[in-house]
Amino acid sequence: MRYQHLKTVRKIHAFLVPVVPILIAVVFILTKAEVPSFVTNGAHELATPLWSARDAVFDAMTNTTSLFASKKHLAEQNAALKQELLQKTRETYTTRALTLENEHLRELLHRVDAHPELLPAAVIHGGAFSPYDTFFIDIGSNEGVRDAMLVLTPENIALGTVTKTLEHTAIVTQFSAAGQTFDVLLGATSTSVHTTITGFGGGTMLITVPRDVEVHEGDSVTLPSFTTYTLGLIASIEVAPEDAYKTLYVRSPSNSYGLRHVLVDTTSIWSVENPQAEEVVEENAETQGTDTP
Amino acid sequence: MSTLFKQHAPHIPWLVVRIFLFCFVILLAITGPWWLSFGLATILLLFFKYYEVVLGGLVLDILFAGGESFLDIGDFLFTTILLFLVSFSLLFLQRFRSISSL
Repeated sequence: MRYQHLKTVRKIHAFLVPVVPILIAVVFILTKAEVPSFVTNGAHELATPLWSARDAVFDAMTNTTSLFASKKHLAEQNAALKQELLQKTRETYTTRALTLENEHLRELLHRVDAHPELLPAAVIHGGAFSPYDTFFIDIGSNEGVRDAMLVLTPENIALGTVTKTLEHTAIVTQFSAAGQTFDVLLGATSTSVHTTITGFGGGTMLITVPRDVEVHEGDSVTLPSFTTYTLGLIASIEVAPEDAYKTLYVRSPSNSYGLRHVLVDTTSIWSVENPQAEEVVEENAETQGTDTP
Repeated sequence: MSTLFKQHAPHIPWLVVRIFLFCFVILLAITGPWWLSFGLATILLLFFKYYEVVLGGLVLDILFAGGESFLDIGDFLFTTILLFLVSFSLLFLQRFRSISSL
Protein backbone atom coordinates (compact mmCIF):
# COMPACT_ATOMS: atom_id res chain seq x y z
CA MET A 1 0.00 0.00 0.00
CA ARG A 2 2.71 2.38 1.09
CA TYR A 3 4.78 1.36 -1.90
CA GLN A 4 1.87 2.18 -4.25
CA HIS A 5 1.53 5.59 -2.65
CA LEU A 6 5.22 6.33 -3.14
CA LYS A 7 4.97 5.22 -6.74
CA THR A 8 2.08 7.65 -7.37
CA VAL A 9 3.97 10.49 -5.70
CA ARG A 10 7.01 9.76 -7.81
CA LYS A 11 4.91 9.78 -10.99
CA ILE A 12 3.37 13.16 -10.09
CA HIS A 13 6.83 14.46 -9.23
CA ALA A 14 8.24 13.26 -12.54
CA PHE A 15 5.47 15.08 -14.37
CA LEU A 16 5.51 18.32 -12.36
CA VAL A 17 9.24 19.00 -12.21
CA PRO A 18 9.74 19.34 -16.00
CA VAL A 19 6.60 21.48 -16.28
CA VAL A 20 7.81 24.17 -13.85
CA PRO A 21 10.62 25.56 -16.12
CA ILE A 22 8.17 25.60 -19.06
CA LEU A 23 5.67 27.55 -16.96
CA ILE A 24 8.30 30.12 -15.96
CA ALA A 25 9.39 30.46 -19.61
CA VAL A 26 5.76 30.86 -20.76
CA VAL A 27 5.22 33.59 -18.14
CA PHE A 28 8.32 35.40 -19.47
CA ILE A 29 7.03 35.13 -23.04
CA LEU A 30 3.42 36.12 -22.36
CA THR A 31 4.24 39.07 -20.13
CA LYS A 32 7.15 40.15 -22.40
CA ALA A 33 9.00 40.74 -19.15
CA GLU A 34 11.65 43.43 -19.14
CA VAL A 35 14.67 43.59 -16.88
CA PRO A 36 14.17 46.48 -14.41
CA SER A 37 16.60 49.36 -14.89
CA PHE A 38 17.96 49.16 -11.35
CA VAL A 39 18.90 45.49 -11.87
CA THR A 40 20.77 46.28 -15.11
CA ASN A 41 22.33 49.28 -13.39
CA GLY A 42 23.59 47.14 -10.50
CA ALA A 43 24.83 44.46 -12.91
CA HIS A 44 26.75 47.07 -14.92
CA GLU A 45 28.28 48.49 -11.73
CA LEU A 46 29.49 45.01 -10.79
CA ALA A 47 30.66 44.08 -14.27
CA THR A 48 32.55 47.30 -15.11
CA PRO A 49 35.69 46.35 -13.09
CA LEU A 50 35.70 42.95 -14.81
CA TRP A 51 35.53 44.56 -18.27
CA SER A 52 38.34 46.96 -17.34
CA ALA A 53 40.46 44.05 -16.14
CA ARG A 54 39.74 42.11 -19.34
CA ASP A 55 40.73 45.08 -21.51
CA ALA A 56 43.94 45.51 -19.50
CA VAL A 57 44.81 41.82 -19.94
CA PHE A 58 44.07 41.94 -23.69
CA ASP A 59 46.23 45.07 -24.12
CA ALA A 60 49.11 43.48 -22.19
CA MET A 61 48.83 40.32 -24.31
CA THR A 62 48.77 42.31 -27.56
CA ASN A 63 51.87 44.25 -26.52
CA THR A 64 53.70 41.06 -25.56
CA THR A 65 52.85 39.18 -28.74
CA SER A 66 53.85 42.14 -30.92
CA LEU A 67 57.41 41.78 -29.57
CA PHE A 68 57.68 38.43 -31.30
CA ALA A 69 56.50 39.63 -34.71
CA SER A 70 59.07 39.27 -37.44
CA LYS A 71 60.75 42.29 -39.09
CA LYS A 72 59.41 41.34 -42.51
CA HIS A 73 55.88 41.14 -41.19
CA LEU A 74 56.26 44.52 -39.48
CA ALA A 75 57.62 46.11 -42.69
CA GLU A 76 54.67 44.74 -44.66
CA GLN A 77 52.25 45.97 -42.05
CA ASN A 78 53.92 49.39 -42.06
CA ALA A 79 53.59 49.68 -45.86
CA ALA A 80 49.94 48.64 -45.76
CA LEU A 81 49.18 51.14 -43.03
CA LYS A 82 50.91 53.93 -44.96
CA GLN A 83 48.75 53.17 -47.99
CA GLU A 84 45.64 53.14 -45.86
CA LEU A 85 46.64 56.47 -44.29
CA LEU A 86 47.10 58.05 -47.70
CA GLN A 87 43.70 56.83 -48.80
CA LYS A 88 42.07 58.14 -45.63
CA THR A 89 43.78 61.51 -46.06
CA ARG A 90 42.37 61.81 -49.56
CA GLU A 91 38.92 60.91 -48.26
CA THR A 92 39.26 63.51 -45.51
CA TYR A 93 39.76 66.28 -48.05
CA THR A 94 36.50 65.34 -49.75
CA THR A 95 34.66 65.08 -46.45
CA ARG A 96 35.97 68.47 -45.32
CA ALA A 97 34.85 70.09 -48.56
CA LEU A 98 31.42 68.49 -48.24
CA THR A 99 31.11 69.59 -44.61
CA LEU A 100 31.90 73.19 -45.55
CA GLU A 101 29.40 73.05 -48.38
CA ASN A 102 26.81 71.57 -46.01
CA GLU A 103 27.36 74.37 -43.48
CA HIS A 104 27.09 76.96 -46.22
CA LEU A 105 23.79 75.45 -47.42
CA ARG A 106 22.48 75.41 -43.86
CA GLU A 107 23.29 79.08 -43.49
CA LEU A 108 21.40 79.78 -46.71
CA LEU A 109 18.41 77.90 -45.35
CA HIS A 110 18.68 79.66 -41.94
CA ARG A 111 19.27 76.37 -40.21
CA VAL A 112 22.50 77.29 -38.47
CA ASP A 113 21.10 76.08 -35.16
CA ALA A 114 20.94 72.52 -36.53
CA HIS A 115 24.47 71.82 -35.32
CA PRO A 116 24.28 68.70 -33.25
CA GLU A 117 25.47 68.62 -29.69
CA LEU A 118 27.60 65.56 -29.43
CA LEU A 119 28.54 63.85 -26.20
CA PRO A 120 31.70 61.74 -26.45
CA ALA A 121 31.47 58.32 -24.85
CA ALA A 122 33.66 55.27 -24.52
CA VAL A 123 32.40 51.83 -25.46
CA ILE A 124 32.91 49.68 -22.40
CA HIS A 125 31.50 46.39 -23.61
CA GLY A 126 29.75 45.04 -26.65
CA GLY A 127 30.38 44.34 -30.30
CA ALA A 128 31.18 40.68 -30.73
CA PHE A 129 30.44 40.00 -27.07
CA SER A 130 26.82 41.13 -27.14
CA PRO A 131 24.00 38.77 -28.10
CA TYR A 132 21.41 41.43 -28.90
CA ASP A 133 23.49 43.67 -31.23
CA THR A 134 23.85 46.03 -28.32
CA PHE A 135 26.84 47.70 -26.66
CA PHE A 136 27.35 49.78 -23.55
CA ILE A 137 28.70 53.30 -23.27
CA ASP A 138 30.19 54.85 -20.18
CA ILE A 139 27.77 57.79 -19.89
CA GLY A 140 24.19 57.69 -18.72
CA SER A 141 21.31 59.83 -17.53
CA ASN A 142 23.57 61.74 -15.12
CA GLU A 143 25.60 62.97 -18.10
CA GLY A 144 22.54 63.97 -20.16
CA VAL A 145 21.87 60.83 -22.16
CA ARG A 146 18.21 59.99 -22.78
CA ASP A 147 16.44 57.10 -24.46
CA ALA A 148 16.22 57.08 -28.29
CA MET A 149 19.16 59.46 -28.78
CA LEU A 150 21.17 58.79 -31.91
CA VAL A 151 24.65 57.27 -31.52
CA LEU A 152 27.36 57.98 -34.08
CA THR A 153 30.91 56.93 -34.74
CA PRO A 154 33.60 59.65 -34.61
CA GLU A 155 33.32 59.74 -38.44
CA ASN A 156 29.60 60.65 -38.17
CA ILE A 157 28.30 57.26 -39.24
CA ALA A 158 24.98 56.44 -37.57
CA LEU A 159 25.32 53.31 -35.46
CA GLY A 160 22.17 52.98 -33.42
CA THR A 161 20.03 54.46 -30.71
CA VAL A 162 20.10 54.51 -26.93
CA THR A 163 17.50 51.97 -25.81
CA LYS A 164 18.09 51.85 -22.08
CA THR A 165 19.52 54.72 -20.08
CA LEU A 166 20.98 53.93 -16.70
CA GLU A 167 22.69 56.23 -14.18
CA HIS A 168 26.27 56.04 -15.44
CA THR A 169 25.92 53.71 -18.40
CA ALA A 170 23.55 53.28 -21.33
CA ILE A 171 22.70 50.41 -23.64
CA VAL A 172 22.87 51.23 -27.34
CA THR A 173 21.03 49.01 -29.81
CA GLN A 174 22.55 49.00 -33.27
CA PHE A 175 20.37 49.65 -36.29
CA SER A 176 21.38 46.21 -37.51
CA ALA A 177 19.69 44.47 -34.55
CA ALA A 178 17.39 41.78 -35.87
CA GLY A 179 13.80 42.88 -36.45
CA GLN A 180 14.34 46.65 -36.21
CA THR A 181 12.61 48.52 -39.01
CA PHE A 182 12.99 52.20 -39.89
CA ASP A 183 12.93 54.64 -42.79
CA VAL A 184 16.08 55.46 -44.75
CA LEU A 185 17.17 57.28 -47.84
CA LEU A 186 18.76 55.08 -50.48
CA GLY A 187 21.48 56.87 -52.42
CA ALA A 188 22.47 60.36 -51.33
CA THR A 189 22.07 61.87 -54.77
CA SER A 190 19.27 63.64 -56.60
CA THR A 191 17.76 60.25 -57.45
CA SER A 192 17.53 59.10 -53.86
CA VAL A 193 14.68 56.80 -52.84
CA HIS A 194 12.81 56.70 -49.54
CA THR A 195 12.53 53.14 -48.36
CA THR A 196 12.40 50.94 -45.28
CA ILE A 197 15.33 49.01 -43.90
CA THR A 198 15.22 45.99 -41.62
CA GLY A 199 17.92 44.85 -39.24
CA PHE A 200 19.21 41.36 -39.96
CA GLY A 201 21.60 40.95 -37.03
CA GLY A 202 25.38 40.70 -37.01
CA GLY A 203 25.88 44.17 -38.51
CA THR A 204 23.79 43.51 -41.63
CA MET A 205 20.59 45.23 -42.74
CA LEU A 206 18.18 44.43 -45.58
CA ILE A 207 16.29 46.63 -48.01
CA THR A 208 13.71 45.31 -50.45
CA VAL A 209 13.05 47.56 -53.45
CA PRO A 210 11.39 47.04 -56.83
CA ARG A 211 13.88 45.59 -59.28
CA ASP A 212 13.58 48.64 -61.53
CA VAL A 213 15.15 50.93 -58.95
CA GLU A 214 18.69 51.60 -60.07
CA VAL A 215 21.16 50.90 -57.30
CA HIS A 216 24.75 49.73 -57.30
CA GLU A 217 27.05 48.08 -54.82
CA GLY A 218 28.76 50.76 -52.76
CA ASP A 219 25.82 53.20 -52.86
CA SER A 220 25.23 54.89 -49.55
CA VAL A 221 22.20 54.60 -47.29
CA THR A 222 21.47 57.61 -45.10
CA LEU A 223 19.02 58.55 -42.38
CA PRO A 224 16.32 60.90 -43.67
CA SER A 225 17.05 63.87 -41.42
CA PHE A 226 18.31 67.37 -42.04
CA THR A 227 21.69 66.44 -40.63
CA THR A 228 22.72 63.74 -43.06
CA TYR A 229 24.19 60.73 -41.32
CA THR A 230 25.38 57.78 -43.32
CA LEU A 231 24.02 54.48 -42.11
CA GLY A 232 25.85 52.08 -44.36
CA LEU A 233 26.82 51.03 -47.84
CA ILE A 234 25.20 48.47 -50.10
CA ALA A 235 27.42 45.43 -49.77
CA SER A 236 25.61 43.15 -52.22
CA ILE A 237 22.47 42.95 -54.32
CA GLU A 238 20.41 39.81 -54.67
CA VAL A 239 17.79 39.51 -57.39
CA ALA A 240 16.00 36.40 -58.57
CA PRO A 241 14.94 36.34 -62.27
CA GLU A 242 11.30 35.58 -61.38
CA ASP A 243 11.08 38.12 -58.56
CA ALA A 244 9.66 41.62 -58.93
CA TYR A 245 11.80 42.87 -56.05
CA LYS A 246 15.46 42.80 -55.24
CA THR A 247 17.13 42.53 -51.88
CA LEU A 248 19.95 44.86 -50.93
CA TYR A 249 22.33 43.89 -48.15
CA VAL A 250 23.61 46.92 -46.29
CA ARG A 251 26.64 46.98 -44.02
CA SER A 252 28.01 49.80 -41.91
CA PRO A 253 31.37 51.16 -43.13
CA SER A 254 32.61 51.29 -39.54
CA ASN A 255 33.68 48.19 -37.69
CA SER A 256 31.42 48.16 -34.66
CA TYR A 257 33.35 45.26 -33.14
CA GLY A 258 36.52 47.27 -32.74
CA LEU A 259 34.78 50.48 -31.76
CA ARG A 260 36.23 52.24 -28.71
CA HIS A 261 34.63 55.68 -28.81
CA VAL A 262 31.25 56.95 -30.02
CA LEU A 263 29.31 60.20 -30.02
CA VAL A 264 25.78 60.65 -28.69
CA ASP A 265 23.76 63.23 -30.60
CA THR A 266 21.69 64.89 -27.87
CA THR A 267 19.63 66.93 -30.33
CA SER A 268 18.15 64.04 -32.25
CA ILE A 269 15.65 61.55 -30.95
CA TRP A 270 15.37 58.61 -33.28
CA SER A 271 12.70 55.99 -33.04
CA VAL A 272 12.54 52.77 -34.93
CA GLU A 273 9.14 51.36 -35.86
CA ASN A 274 8.36 50.04 -32.45
CA PRO A 275 5.25 51.44 -30.77
CA GLN A 276 6.29 50.19 -27.34
CA ALA A 277 9.66 51.95 -27.56
CA GLU A 278 7.96 55.22 -28.46
CA GLU A 279 5.65 54.88 -25.48
CA VAL A 280 8.62 54.27 -23.21
CA VAL A 281 10.36 57.37 -24.57
CA GLU A 282 7.25 59.45 -23.92
CA GLU A 283 6.94 58.04 -20.40
CA ASN A 284 10.61 58.73 -19.69
CA ALA A 285 10.31 62.27 -21.00
CA GLU A 286 7.33 62.84 -18.72
CA THR A 287 8.94 61.35 -15.64
CA GLN A 288 12.34 62.95 -16.13
CA GLY A 289 10.84 66.29 -17.14
CA THR A 290 13.29 66.83 -19.95
CA ASP A 291 12.79 68.82 -23.10
CA THR A 292 13.45 66.44 -25.93
CA PRO A 293 14.18 68.36 -29.10
CA MET B 1 38.59 -6.37 2.82
CA SER B 2 37.65 -4.54 -0.30
CA THR B 3 39.45 -1.39 0.91
CA LEU B 4 42.74 -3.25 0.62
CA PHE B 5 42.38 -3.29 -3.15
CA LYS B 6 40.99 0.20 -3.50
CA GLN B 7 42.90 2.49 -5.83
CA HIS B 8 43.94 5.72 -4.13
CA ALA B 9 44.27 7.85 -7.25
CA PRO B 10 43.96 11.60 -6.62
CA HIS B 11 40.53 12.81 -7.68
CA ILE B 12 38.71 16.13 -7.61
CA PRO B 13 35.26 16.04 -6.02
CA TRP B 14 32.52 16.44 -8.64
CA LEU B 15 30.99 19.30 -6.64
CA VAL B 16 34.18 21.37 -7.02
CA VAL B 17 34.15 20.76 -10.78
CA ARG B 18 30.49 21.69 -10.90
CA ILE B 19 31.05 24.94 -8.97
CA PHE B 20 34.09 25.77 -11.11
CA LEU B 21 32.15 25.23 -14.37
CA PHE B 22 29.22 27.28 -13.10
CA CYS B 23 31.54 30.18 -12.17
CA PHE B 24 33.27 29.83 -15.55
CA VAL B 25 29.96 30.10 -17.44
CA ILE B 26 28.94 33.18 -15.42
CA LEU B 27 32.34 34.85 -15.93
CA LEU B 28 32.23 34.03 -19.63
CA ALA B 29 28.74 35.51 -19.88
CA ILE B 30 30.04 38.77 -18.38
CA THR B 31 33.39 39.12 -20.10
CA GLY B 32 33.45 36.73 -23.03
CA PRO B 33 31.56 36.31 -26.27
CA TRP B 34 27.89 35.48 -25.71
CA TRP B 35 27.89 32.46 -28.03
CA LEU B 36 30.68 30.78 -26.07
CA SER B 37 28.95 31.07 -22.70
CA PHE B 38 25.56 30.15 -24.15
CA GLY B 39 27.01 27.17 -26.02
CA LEU B 40 28.84 25.93 -22.95
CA ALA B 41 25.71 26.37 -20.83
CA THR B 42 23.69 24.35 -23.35
CA ILE B 43 26.23 21.52 -23.40
CA LEU B 44 26.51 21.43 -19.61
CA LEU B 45 22.76 21.45 -19.28
CA LEU B 46 21.92 18.80 -21.83
CA PHE B 47 24.81 16.38 -21.37
CA PHE B 48 25.72 16.81 -17.71
CA LYS B 49 22.41 17.97 -16.19
CA TYR B 50 24.00 21.11 -14.69
CA TYR B 51 20.70 22.96 -14.43
CA GLU B 52 22.18 25.89 -12.48
CA VAL B 53 23.80 27.24 -15.69
CA VAL B 54 20.39 28.74 -16.52
CA LEU B 55 21.70 31.63 -14.42
CA GLY B 56 24.29 32.21 -17.17
CA GLY B 57 21.42 32.98 -19.55
CA LEU B 58 19.90 35.26 -16.93
CA VAL B 59 23.19 37.15 -16.65
CA LEU B 60 23.29 37.58 -20.44
CA ASP B 61 19.74 38.91 -20.44
CA ILE B 62 20.26 41.28 -17.52
CA LEU B 63 23.48 42.71 -18.96
CA PHE B 64 22.70 42.95 -22.65
CA ALA B 65 18.96 43.14 -23.22
CA GLY B 66 17.80 46.57 -24.25
CA GLY B 67 14.69 47.29 -26.23
CA GLU B 68 12.77 44.67 -28.11
CA SER B 69 14.37 41.41 -29.19
CA PHE B 70 13.66 40.06 -32.65
CA LEU B 71 11.33 37.32 -31.38
CA ASP B 72 9.28 39.93 -29.52
CA ILE B 73 9.26 37.95 -26.27
CA GLY B 74 10.74 40.55 -23.95
CA ASP B 75 14.17 40.72 -22.37
CA PHE B 76 14.54 37.15 -21.12
CA LEU B 77 15.35 35.45 -24.43
CA PHE B 78 18.32 33.35 -23.30
CA THR B 79 16.78 32.44 -19.94
CA THR B 80 13.66 31.27 -21.74
CA ILE B 81 15.64 29.12 -24.19
CA LEU B 82 17.64 27.54 -21.36
CA LEU B 83 14.48 26.90 -19.32
CA PHE B 84 12.95 25.10 -22.29
CA LEU B 85 16.13 23.06 -22.58
CA VAL B 86 15.85 22.13 -18.89
CA SER B 87 12.34 20.82 -19.47
CA PHE B 88 13.44 19.06 -22.64
CA SER B 89 16.28 17.42 -20.74
CA LEU B 90 14.00 16.35 -17.89
CA LEU B 91 11.21 15.07 -20.10
CA PHE B 92 12.97 13.37 -22.99
CA LEU B 93 16.61 12.80 -22.23
CA GLN B 94 15.75 10.99 -18.99
CA ARG B 95 13.60 8.61 -20.99
CA PHE B 96 16.33 8.03 -23.53
CA ARG B 97 18.76 7.31 -20.72
CA SER B 98 16.33 4.81 -19.15
CA ILE B 99 15.78 3.13 -22.53
CA SER B 100 19.52 2.90 -23.14
CA SER B 101 20.08 1.39 -19.73
CA LEU B 102 17.63 -1.46 -20.37
